[in-house]
Amino acid sequence: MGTATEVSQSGRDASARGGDGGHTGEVIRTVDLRKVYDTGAAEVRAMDGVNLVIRTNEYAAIMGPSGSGKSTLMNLLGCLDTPTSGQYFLRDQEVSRLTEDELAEIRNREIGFVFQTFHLLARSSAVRNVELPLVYSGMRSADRRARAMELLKLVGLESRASHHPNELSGGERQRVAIARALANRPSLLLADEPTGNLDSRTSGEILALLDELHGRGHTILLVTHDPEVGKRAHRVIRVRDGRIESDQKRA
Amino acid sequence: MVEKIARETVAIGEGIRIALEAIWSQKLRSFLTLLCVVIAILSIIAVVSVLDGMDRYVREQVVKAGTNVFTLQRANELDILTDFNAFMESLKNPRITFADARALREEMTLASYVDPGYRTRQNLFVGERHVDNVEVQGRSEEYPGVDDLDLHVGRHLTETDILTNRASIVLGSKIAEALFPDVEPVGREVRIGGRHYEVVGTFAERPNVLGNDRNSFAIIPITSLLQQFGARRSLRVYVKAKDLDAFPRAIEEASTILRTRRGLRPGAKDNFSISTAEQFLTFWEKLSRGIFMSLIGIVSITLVVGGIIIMNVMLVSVTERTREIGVRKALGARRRAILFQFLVEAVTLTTVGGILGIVLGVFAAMIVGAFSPLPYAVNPWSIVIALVIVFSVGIFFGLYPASRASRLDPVVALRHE
Repeated sequence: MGTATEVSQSGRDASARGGDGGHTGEVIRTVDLRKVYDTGAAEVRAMDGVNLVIRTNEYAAIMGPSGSGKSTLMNLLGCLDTPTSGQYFLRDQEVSRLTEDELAEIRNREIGFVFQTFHLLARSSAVRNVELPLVYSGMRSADRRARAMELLKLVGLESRASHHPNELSGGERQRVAIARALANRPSLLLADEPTGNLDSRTSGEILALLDELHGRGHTILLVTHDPEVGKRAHRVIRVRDGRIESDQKRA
Repeated sequence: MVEKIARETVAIGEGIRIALEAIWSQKLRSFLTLLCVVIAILSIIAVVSVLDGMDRYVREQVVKAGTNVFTLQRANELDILTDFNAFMESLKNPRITFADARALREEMTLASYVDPGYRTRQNLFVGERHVDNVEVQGRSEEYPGVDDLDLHVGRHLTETDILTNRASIVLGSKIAEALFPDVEPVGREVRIGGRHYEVVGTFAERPNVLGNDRNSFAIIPITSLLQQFGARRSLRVYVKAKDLDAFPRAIEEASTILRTRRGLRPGAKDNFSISTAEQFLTFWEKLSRGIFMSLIGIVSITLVVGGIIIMNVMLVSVTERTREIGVRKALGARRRAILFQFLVEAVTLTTVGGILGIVLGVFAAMIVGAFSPLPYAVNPWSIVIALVIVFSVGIFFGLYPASRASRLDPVVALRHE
């Protein structure tokens, strides 16, 4: 496995934007993204000027030790949080200054979340969990059910549609969560330690599923501290102290 | 716009569904939460139903009694409830005597019948056979004109019976049957205390009204009653006006006659009381309104307590489901959707309690109807009002927890343990 690495200065990506001409292939572009928490005693610079571009159908991993700011970065890129300063373009739309409800709509349509602890609703069946983003996009009940079943089939769980999360194995739960993430055909799949709560065999299955989704044209951003998991990505972005430390692409 | 409406309708359906799921998954807790609301609604429905039934009954009775009859008496018992001091004061009034009644009868021009009466309860004997605690009315010969009483056999009391204090008695059908199961009662004797009364007639059977037996009574001459049981009793005088038009003037006439007899100066207060069916109706309306008002008071307190409990439980529920809220927000739920979800949950909760209360309330009213002569009538309006109330309680007490839920920061909520 030849891993020719290319280190690219994230600042250079940002400056290249003008020359790109129409930059339609960009899913994410951040410009000098900062997040500062004012704890009263001291300012904490959780994100300290990040410039990052992710293109369509990239499979990138954000890596870094705990406290490096990768969670903050993920929250910002996932539109769960807004930056203190800087700009964030998601599919060419500036989203860093949107209202809470506008962000909710962006999350609903553009971002598919996969969480470490799955975050399925315990009282709802698998298919109802997958339907959830469709509920918030206002799809009718019958259409929702059809789409959700289609997605469960995609992740190989159509026979488990009526099972509740506690009747499913960890791997199955994560596959339901991935199906849910894909519900509204998002531009970006944002996976936060998706294998963190799984054994190695199941992890392999989930990572294979992500590979498959990448193969189908999905853009995937993986947040992990596990180098083995990071290896699956075609690009590794290392974060430390709220800054991008390195950004390597593999051939 | 169309898309927005579609999204809202989906949200309502989803909200109700989530709420029912949540209620169902916590059955016992939901029930305990709702207890106060159930009790409040139950009391509204039950009490209003019984009041409504009683109202109908009272009106029916008043119409039957005839609207052009009024009663003179020493004191008005209705005052006990409305004006107790006035009632105690009126007990000092002079007795209304047989002579008063005779005078009224002689002097009144606007009355068709004037009939003094007194009721006691006595044990009636025929040999060894006896019926205890029978309502014995002392009346004059005018009673058939005032009361709606038909004879079965024999005759009514006559003026001679009254003037000579004769020991004559007319029996209600049920008493006649009980005392004389095998023989014709007319001409036979009934002993009351130490005196033997001759049965001169029996009354035709009257239909029961809502469980009230109207055939267990007997009538004897008022003069005989006073002679046997003591003359120092204050009578009631029933006056039937010639017609409805003359009714108010007849009351005035009776009052004037009595005042003159008692030498009351103009401006002095009446030392007797005149009551009409209309007064009774007014009294009843006052009483039922009083009952209703105290019901509203009790129910309001119960509902506030119930509402606070619901608010509390909803706040706990919001805390317990912080992560769920975070997940929903991450997946695209806007503030309104979360607010709506918890509001719908609160309203669904109170509505379930309301429906339970309505069912139990109707049931309670039916039980009251079955085991007492009180009728009941479930008023559809009381159900509508009950539902409006629970709906409002749900909104009012659900708003704060729901708004707390909707304002949660998704990042914080997702991290919540």
